[in-house]
Amino acid sequence: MRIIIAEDDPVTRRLIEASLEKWGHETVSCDNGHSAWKALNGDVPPQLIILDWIMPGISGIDLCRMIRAEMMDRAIYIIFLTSRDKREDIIAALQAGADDYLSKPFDRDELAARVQVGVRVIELQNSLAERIKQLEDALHQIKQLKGLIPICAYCKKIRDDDNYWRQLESYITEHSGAEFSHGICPDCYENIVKPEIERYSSQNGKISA
Amino acid sequence: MFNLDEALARSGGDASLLCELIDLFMEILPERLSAMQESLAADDYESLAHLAHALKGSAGAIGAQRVFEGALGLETAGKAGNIEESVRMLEQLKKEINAFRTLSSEWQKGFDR
Repeated sequence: MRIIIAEDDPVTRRLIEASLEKWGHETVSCDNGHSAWKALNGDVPPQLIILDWIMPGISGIDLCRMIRAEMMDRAIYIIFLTSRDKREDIIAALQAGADDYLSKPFDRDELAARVQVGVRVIELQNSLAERIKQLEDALHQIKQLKGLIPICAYCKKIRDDDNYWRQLESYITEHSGAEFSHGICPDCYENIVKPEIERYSSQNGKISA
Repeated sequence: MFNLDEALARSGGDASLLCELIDLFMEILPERLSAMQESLAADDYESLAHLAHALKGSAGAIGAQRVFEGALGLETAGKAGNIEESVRMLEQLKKEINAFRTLSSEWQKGFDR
């Protein structure tokens, strides 16, 4: 997973970077809040961020608030990694929108475990978002069939969005995924098929006679 | 002093990474110490405390326990705006850094990179 490290201390940053890479992650290292914000607005924005509290420019806590205020529709997991370890600091960070909080100097195994939790949550959110998209697409198609459909009063062809008159069957198949198996109902058998068979037989009779 | 086991644990048992981190620490040290000296000369205790805080973080990452404690002492003195204590703590911190430098470079020499 791609992970942003927002940390102004070069030694700590390198330690986190090397650790994450060893665990198979890709890192985007930032030494201040501004460049972390820029990375979040890039083409392939990471979804997990390890955030220091005290940084030049935008502080970690301000960046956290900005992410929650302006990226509400995005699944971003925020882990605070800071030397501020007072109870009120932890509460303030969680209230600002942090998902997790780890104190410095940090324990490497604990960081690995907490990053793993973040990865799990993000993957879950991504798969839920994908399912919702599929359901919305399906709902969109059903809605098209529920709306007002222009139909020819005589031949029952349907006018589609591109203004073409189409066979009822192909229109419904395209908009619902339903397929048709053709048969003949008893009424039509009596009114259409039977007279046609009789006409055909009588014509044949004439020829053979 | 320099707790090698702890430092190695922080680096995931990766001695070459620890070497790299110590080098990095030593590289940024002179600039930080002179910035501290300047802050102290300018009676800028807020900046002094901030610098000490940053150094504390770096020391913690490489397991330099006594440098960490020295930086914490300086940060506290700076926050309190205590001039005498700040001067004393900065001298103490420099001593701890020198001790760490000796120990870590000995270890680094023994470690074939």
